[in-house]
Amino acid sequence: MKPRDVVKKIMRAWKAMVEQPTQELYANALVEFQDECSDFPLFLNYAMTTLKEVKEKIVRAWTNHVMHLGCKTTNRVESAHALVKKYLDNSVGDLGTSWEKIHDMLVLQLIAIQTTFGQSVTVFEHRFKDVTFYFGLGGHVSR
Amino acid sequence: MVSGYLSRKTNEWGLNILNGVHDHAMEPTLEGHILAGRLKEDDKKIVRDLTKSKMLPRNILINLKNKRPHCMTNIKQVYNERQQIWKANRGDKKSLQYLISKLEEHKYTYFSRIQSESTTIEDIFWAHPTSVMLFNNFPTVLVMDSTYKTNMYKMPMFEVVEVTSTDLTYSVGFGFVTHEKEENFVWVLKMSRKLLTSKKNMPKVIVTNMEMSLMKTIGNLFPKSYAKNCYFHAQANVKQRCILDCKYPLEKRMGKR
Repeated sequence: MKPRDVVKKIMRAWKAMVEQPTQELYANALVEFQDECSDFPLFLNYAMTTLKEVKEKIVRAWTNHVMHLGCKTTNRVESAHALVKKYLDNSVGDLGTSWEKIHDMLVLQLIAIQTTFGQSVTVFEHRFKDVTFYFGLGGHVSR
Repeated sequence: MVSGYLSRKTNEWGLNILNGVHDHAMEPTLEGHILAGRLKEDDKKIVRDLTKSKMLPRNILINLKNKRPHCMTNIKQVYNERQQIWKANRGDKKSLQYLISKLEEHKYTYFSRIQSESTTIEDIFWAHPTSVMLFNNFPTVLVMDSTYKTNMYKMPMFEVVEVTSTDLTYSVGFGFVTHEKEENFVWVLKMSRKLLTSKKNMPKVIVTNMEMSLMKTIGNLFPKSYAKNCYFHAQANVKQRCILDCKYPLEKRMGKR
């Protein structure tokens, strides 16, 4: 087997393990993962220490028990960084100019949020259109 | 300007003076002449307005040219005018004084800390008043991370974002820190905790990357929140290690040497 395929196989086992929905399934997947890595004690040792430290923080079996609103990764803040940098234009401004640009970004961002709040009250969804039961709620209750 | 000629009668050279003042013919266009290209008062107003809305100098020049096709302004004059505007804006304030005056003017919540034994700023953190209001209403999932290359002082920018009920991201606060050490994270997180008015509204979940010092700080400062890690970052770390240990095992690397 090629070395590249070894890495692929091990990573597949890791992904499967991290995404197990319950702790029983996770335990089974863990055994499988250990099986895959049995030839590489050094790596297995590292993976086990990492898991011991952050198991509750990354494995779905644990994280799915809290209300995380779909934030499994730090994508949200990464995209926020990208947005800030789009406004900053360059990386050599002083704090005054950085503030000015970030302020402009915030103004637009907060308007967009306020807009969605307004829309959630005023817009009546099509799927409720023919349901007479909800008819009186349109424009009075937010979605 | 002069022109030379050879006289047929005397067979001698002579010179005719065409113009005694200039050494060239009249230019057909006036581009590059300072007086012709200067910005007039209403041009200056356009430049001021467009600069305020962060338009690039070249776009400002396009705007001027569209308004008056025959105007002879060049890009340098736009740059000069922008510099004047910038100077007038700042007055004699230093960058930080200007920042603080602006923060106060827009009623931001801000905190700063100076380095011990000197007057250099260590960390600064600010939050927009509306952001603070939103933060108190939707404190469910806090996502935080720092990024580089945002300013000339090479201070990492630490950003904290939250999710609204309409599934949009909003920025709670921005912190500029000198180092990414535990002490700095403790300070920034303490300041963001200060924004919450009620102790009952502590964030339920906090998502971070695999930064050890940040993870430790969160455990101490938000004991009731569930600290979560980005599984993607964790996976990247594992993969890196896997490539090192399994693709190129130690014996193989030693053998190559």
